Amino acid sequence: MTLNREGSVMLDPRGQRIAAAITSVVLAFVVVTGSGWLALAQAVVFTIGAIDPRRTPYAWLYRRLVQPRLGPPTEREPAAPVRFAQGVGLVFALVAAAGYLAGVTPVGIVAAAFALMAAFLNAAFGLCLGCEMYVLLRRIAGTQGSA
Amino acid sequence: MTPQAATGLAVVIAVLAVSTVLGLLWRLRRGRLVAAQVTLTEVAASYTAAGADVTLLQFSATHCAPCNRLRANCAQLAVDGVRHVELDVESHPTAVRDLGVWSVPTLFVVDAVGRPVWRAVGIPDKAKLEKAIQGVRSARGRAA
Repeated sequence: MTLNREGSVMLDPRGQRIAAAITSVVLAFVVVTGSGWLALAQAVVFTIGAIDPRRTPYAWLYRRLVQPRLGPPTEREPAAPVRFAQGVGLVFALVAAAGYLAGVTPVGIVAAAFALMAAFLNAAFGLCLGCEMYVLLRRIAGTQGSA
Repeated sequence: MTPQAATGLAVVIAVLAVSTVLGLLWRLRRGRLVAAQVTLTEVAASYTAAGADVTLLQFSATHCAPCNRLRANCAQLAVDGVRHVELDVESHPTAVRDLGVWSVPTLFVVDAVGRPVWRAVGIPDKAKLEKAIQGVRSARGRAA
């Protein structure tokens, strides 16, 4: 386990990109098939990722199949923003699963589409929506707190 | 193909198209040095390193990987008269609001009198940042 000087867990950023790519494919399947059960399975993966991103099946696949070919990472990233993002993904996946399984398909489509967008932006561009939103959300929260 | 699958496929294609456009715009904007349009100069001035020709004023958050990379770049550029000052967005909400910081890292190139001249969201190219610093420094030389 790699820790930074503050003692927090550090991740191989390439593993996160691969995990986001697999997540994108799964979520695209959810939207095409309209499967609430597949959305629920992805919600389970997000739950594990929100606790420890290194323990998801996608991270396992990365370590087994991809990392040995790439070699050790030259830089590592803190796990906290990734865990936060996985938690946000969990909320969207749960709403999507509930929508599809309850027969309210539009709710399922919209929630899964937003999750797909976030996962795809992360996989293709390295854009972490959670990181971009962090200051924005804090400022909104701050405005409400002081009002 | 069922109507539901056709709808789903159309949604997936639309989402990927919109995301690609957004991602490309984001990449284009990211790290670009633009003229800082800040009117509240006293805010930046209060964080300007005393006696510095140029201050690199960086806004960061605790768990932000690009912030660490930008810090390393700024530390290398902080030589003779150039100082690097890093503020955490959580402990400096007033500066965040007054300087219009919306995401991290955000960097301001501040001149000797505390006027923010350049601004960049993300990590600016090191050579371009160096050039911007030189520009701010020589503008100061002409004014003096």
